[in-house]
Amino acid sequence: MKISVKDVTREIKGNIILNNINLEFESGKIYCLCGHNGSGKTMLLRAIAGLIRIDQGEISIDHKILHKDMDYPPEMGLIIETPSFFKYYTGMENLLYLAEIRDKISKQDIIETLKRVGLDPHDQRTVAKYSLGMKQRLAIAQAIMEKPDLILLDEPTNALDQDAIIQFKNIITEEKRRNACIIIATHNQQDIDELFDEKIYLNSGKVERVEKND
Amino acid sequence: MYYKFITKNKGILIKIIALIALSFILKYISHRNFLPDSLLGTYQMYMGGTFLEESTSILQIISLLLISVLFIYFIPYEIVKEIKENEIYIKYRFEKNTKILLFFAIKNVFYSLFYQLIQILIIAFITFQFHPIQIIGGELIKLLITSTMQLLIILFISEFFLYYMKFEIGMVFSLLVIVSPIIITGIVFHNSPSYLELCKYIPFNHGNYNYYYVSKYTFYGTSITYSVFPHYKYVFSFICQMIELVISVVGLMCIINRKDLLGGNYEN
Repeated sequence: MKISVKDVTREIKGNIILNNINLEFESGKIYCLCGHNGSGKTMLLRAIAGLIRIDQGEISIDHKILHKDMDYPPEMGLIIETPSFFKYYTGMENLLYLAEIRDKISKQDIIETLKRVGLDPHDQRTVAKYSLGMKQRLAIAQAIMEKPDLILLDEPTNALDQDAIIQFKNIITEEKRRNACIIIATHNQQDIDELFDEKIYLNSGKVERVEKND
Repeated sequence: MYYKFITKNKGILIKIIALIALSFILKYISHRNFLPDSLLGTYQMYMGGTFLEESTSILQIISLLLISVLFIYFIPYEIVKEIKENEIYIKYRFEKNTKILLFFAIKNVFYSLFYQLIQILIIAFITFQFHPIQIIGGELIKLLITSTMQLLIILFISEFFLYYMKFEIGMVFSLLVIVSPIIITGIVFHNSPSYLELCKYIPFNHGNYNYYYVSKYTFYGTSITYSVFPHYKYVFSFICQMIELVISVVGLMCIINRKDLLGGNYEN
């Protein structure tokens, strides 16, 4: 999979939130979008995910242009902002509901994924009773359960304790080995710094610099 | 795959039954316990819409508003809420916005048909307690098609408003679509009856007056529900409703397609 972001610009209410961004991403690598709040990293992630339209430029995945040839990238897993699930369903029920949309995985796959992220598949508590850390784990589970080719994660280590961060690092390393393209937006990269093949620093919607880990 | 989503929210089915029962009770009380002698007649009187002469009655309007608010809250709001509560995770999994529209469409068709089925069963049960069995097949089918189309149009239009706007504003606009044609028609009927014919051109009005055999104002009922051209009586209504349905569906599709999921401080 190859993702190409060309001359991408987006303005919202008079603010330029993405300013002539040019980047490329490919399978089997982990990218970090770094920057302080308001730098544009989340919006760039949303643009790549097809959740927002862009004013100028184009985003293409394997030469297919977003919002022209497709509405959303195929085979994508995503965490954006605060995870939201059906409050009165359990974690398992939430993932079953979501899995039925693509209908690609079985109940057993979901059970395995929940165990991978450190959640109990037989937990009868509804998501309304989950802690923030548990909701974040559930969000990671929904992003990876269908073994997507593209994984976009916005602040994935929010509310995770140290054990959970270690678990997360293992998961991401496994996904990279599976040849997924992984893009992580975070302002707190020190916890997971060693994972990244490339770090892209954003400031006021522009790419400030790119550091590659050779 | 999609059939699984229909059966997820069983609460909607129970709410539909309760709503139909309430609607019937309100009409039964206001029509002084009168039951016509056929299934068609009973359906028209109790579920066929509003009586023209009652269109400006405060009690009838309040009753209509109550039923409409509950209808919108129980069905289209629940459908939109299901998507919105988990919008990002659901939308990207569909991969195409047309599939999301299909999600809405299948639910709307299912709930409309369920609504009609329950109505017919309740009315048949009640009518046949008191009268011998009498069904006027062809007319009943036309009436069912008209009223089902009306349900579908209301569902799509309400979902358009509720998906695009905040709940309270979406509810107001949805109610305007349902209630204002009836009020306008009532005002015209009471003040300028010679212009009543034009009321059949008011958008979303075709499913509102289906009682023409029962009401004493048969002439006006006929002229609203059907075209003045004999060869196009029923077809005229049907075509108008098809156009309204297409507009509603296209409107919802445009909103699904265009809505940016900005999140955070940028969200409307």
